[in-house]
Amino acid sequence: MVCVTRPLTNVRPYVSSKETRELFPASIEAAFNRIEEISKSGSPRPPVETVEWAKRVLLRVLPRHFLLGAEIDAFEREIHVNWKHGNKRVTVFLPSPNRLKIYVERTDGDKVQHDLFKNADDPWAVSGVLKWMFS
Amino acid sequence: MGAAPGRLGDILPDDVHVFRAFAEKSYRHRKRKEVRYFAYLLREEDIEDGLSVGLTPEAAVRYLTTNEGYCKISVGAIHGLPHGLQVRRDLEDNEHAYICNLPLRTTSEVELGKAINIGNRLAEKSVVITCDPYIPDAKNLPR
Repeated sequence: MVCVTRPLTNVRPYVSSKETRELFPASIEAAFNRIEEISKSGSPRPPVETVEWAKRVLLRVLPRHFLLGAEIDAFEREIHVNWKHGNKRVTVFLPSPNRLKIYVERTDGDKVQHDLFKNADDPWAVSGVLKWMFS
Repeated sequence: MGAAPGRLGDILPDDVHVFRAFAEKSYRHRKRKEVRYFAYLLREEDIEDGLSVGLTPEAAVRYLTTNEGYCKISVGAIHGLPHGLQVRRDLEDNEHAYICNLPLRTTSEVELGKAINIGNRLAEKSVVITCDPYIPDAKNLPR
């Protein structure tokens, strides 16, 4: 039996695949850090289950760069995620686990059109609304 | 946050300005110097009287343990919105008032949409005075 000893420097360090890295770009990391931050201050604050739900919802936002303009805040036990682009606004309202509401608004001077997506509990709905906002 | 004394008085005239304290940092956008709709969202504890405002900056922060600044808005701008809002004087505190008839977002989906919409409109009509904690001057100090 031949035993070959290699110096440790030749051992390739573990690196995640390109695909895995793309799942966690800086925009996701920043959003997650912000969710963690708001969940640790204020009273009352969002429960852990709502915090995890907010992360799951934001993980489904595609393309990821939509997250760069997101403003994430807690209000009492809820998490609100806001975007503003030109005369359009989107608010994703996360009151409790598995529940989300999407508020959309467009202003033209003094005229305001607004709507609340009813029963929009599917996180995938968020990307479609953001696509409308950034179009 | 302490509870403000209740009891609603007369509707304030449109030419008066009222001050809304920022109880949380999320109530304002420091970099853009803008008020956000959070400043005008009703909480369960506000249902009985309404949203607390002061006729002076001191009165606006009086019932808060901490604040992150405050803004100003005219009563006429509040009454001018098509949502039936009223600004009423607090009978137990001459320098304090309430914005009445704001929707409570947790009541229903319709009320949630209304609450964010009205919050956005009120925020647009508000002017940030400071995004730093406001500490009123002490009075009646010995000389």
